[in-house]
Amino acid sequence: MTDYLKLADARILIWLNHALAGHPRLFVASLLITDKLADMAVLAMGAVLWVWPHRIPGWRAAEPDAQASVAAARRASRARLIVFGIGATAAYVTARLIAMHLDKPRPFASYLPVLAVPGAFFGLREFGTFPSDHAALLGALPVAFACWSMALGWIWAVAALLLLALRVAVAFHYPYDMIAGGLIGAVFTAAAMALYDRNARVHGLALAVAGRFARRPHAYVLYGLLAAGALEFAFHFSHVLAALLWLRARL
Amino acid sequence: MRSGHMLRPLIAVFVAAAAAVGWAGGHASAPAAPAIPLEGTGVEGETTLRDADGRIMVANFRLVEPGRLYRASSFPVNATLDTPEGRRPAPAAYVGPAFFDLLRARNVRQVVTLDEADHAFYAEEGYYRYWTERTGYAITLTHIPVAADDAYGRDDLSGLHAGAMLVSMMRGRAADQGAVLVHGDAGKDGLGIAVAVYETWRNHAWTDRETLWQQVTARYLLSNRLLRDTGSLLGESVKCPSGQEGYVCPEWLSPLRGDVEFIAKL
Repeated sequence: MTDYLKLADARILIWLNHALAGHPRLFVASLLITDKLADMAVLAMGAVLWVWPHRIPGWRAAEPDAQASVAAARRASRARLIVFGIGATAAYVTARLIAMHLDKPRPFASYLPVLAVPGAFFGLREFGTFPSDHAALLGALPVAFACWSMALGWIWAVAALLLLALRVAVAFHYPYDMIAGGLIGAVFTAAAMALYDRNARVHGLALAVAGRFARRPHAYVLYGLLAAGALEFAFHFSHVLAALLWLRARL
Repeated sequence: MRSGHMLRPLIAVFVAAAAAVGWAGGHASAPAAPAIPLEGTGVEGETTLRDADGRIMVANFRLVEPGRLYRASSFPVNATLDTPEGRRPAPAAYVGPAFFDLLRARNVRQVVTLDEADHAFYAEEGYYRYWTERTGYAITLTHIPVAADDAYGRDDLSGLHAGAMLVSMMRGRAADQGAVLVHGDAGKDGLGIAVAVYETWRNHAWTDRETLWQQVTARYLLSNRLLRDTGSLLGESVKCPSGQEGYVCPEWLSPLRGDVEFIAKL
C-alpha cells in the first residue's frame, strides 16, 4: 500500500510538473504567485480585516462583539485575527517539526525527473518535505476567513487549493505533503477559533489584547510585536523553530 | 461557528483529493512497446573506438536500443588541440571530425552528457556546433550532470536521476528524431545506473521481474570486460566485496534495485 501511494504521489507530481514546465513563462509566474504574491494577498487580507472589518457584508450582524460600534467591530475582528495568527503559527510549527523529524527529501532534491527553470530551487531547503508547512498556512486561511464571511471562506478555499496544486507543479512538494499540511492547518485553525468562541477566558483575553491596540502607549509595543510577527512570517518562523529546537536540546 | 462550516467541506475536499491522487496516480502507465533485446550484450563490433593515430576517442561503446539509444564512456584527455591560447590538452575525440562522423553514421541527433563539470559540457557543445555548421548535420547536446562521488546515490546528481531523466526524455522521442548517445565517466557508474533504469523501464511490462534484473545486471557488469583494454585511462579496477576484480561490482547495483524498478513504473 505504501509503495502504491508513493508511486501515485510521484506520478501526479511529475504529471503536473511536466505540464507546467512546458511553458517556462507560466512556470516563472507560478513561482512568483506561490511565493511572493500569495504572501502579499494574505497580508492584504489581514490588513482589511484589521482596519475595515465592518465593511465585510453580514459580519457585524453575526459577531456579537462587533455590533456596538465601528471601534468595537475592529476590536472583535482583531481579537479573532490574533487567535487565528496563534493557531496558524502553531499549525506551521507543528508541520515543520514533523517534517524535520521525518526528513524526507523534497522532489527537486530527489532522483525524480523534475523539470524547472534555472534557479527555481535556489535557496530552498532540500529536506523535510512531508508535511508541507506552507500548506498548513494555506489550509488555515479558508477556515479562519469563513468566520468573517462564508463567501470569503470559499474564495480563499479555491485560492488555497490552486496554490496547493501550484506548489506541487513547481516541484516544491508532493501532493500528499500538501494534503497532510492543509489538514493540519485547517484542524488547528478550527480548534483555535472554537476555543475563541467557546472559552470565555480565551475570548476575554483576546478581546482585551485587541483593545490595547487602540490605546497609546500600549499600541506602540503591540504594533512592534506585530511587526516582529510579520517579519518572522517572512522568515518562515525560522527563529521560532530554532528556539524550539534549542529548548528540546536542553530538556 | 462558521469556521466549523468551512472545516467540514475542506476536510472532505482534502480527503477526496487524497483519494483522487491515489486513484489517478495508481493506474499503471502504458508499457513502452515493444521490448528491447536484453539477452545479448549490445556490442556491435569495436567497443573501444580510436582515431587514425590509435588514440582512444571513447570506450565502452554499445547499443542499448537498436536505432534509438547508444551508450559510451566520456572522452579521455589524451591528445592536444591548437587553440587561440596555444596548444592545450584535449580529448582525441575533439581533434578532427572522426567522432562526429561516427555519430552521423549511426544517425545520432542528440547526445546526452552525464559529465558534471560545466566546462566539459561547453567544450563538447562547441565541438558539435563547429561540425554541425560545417556539415549541416545537426547534433544537439543535453546536460544531465552526475556527480562522480554520488553516482550510486539517490539525489538529483545521482545515476538514478540521470536514468529517470533519460526515460522521461526518450518517452516522448519520435523515431524520426534520430538516435541518442548517452555518455558519462567511464560509461560504467552513473551511466551504468542510468542505462539500467532505461532497460528496466523498457522491458518491465514484458519480462519476468527476476529475469529482467539478471539481464540488466549482466549488462551493467559488462563494463568489467569492455574496459579492460583501456588500461587505467578511464579509472582503476577495484576488488569487489565478493572477491572479484573489476571496474564495477554487483554489490554496487543491487541496493538500488527497488529505486530502479520504482522509476521504471513512473
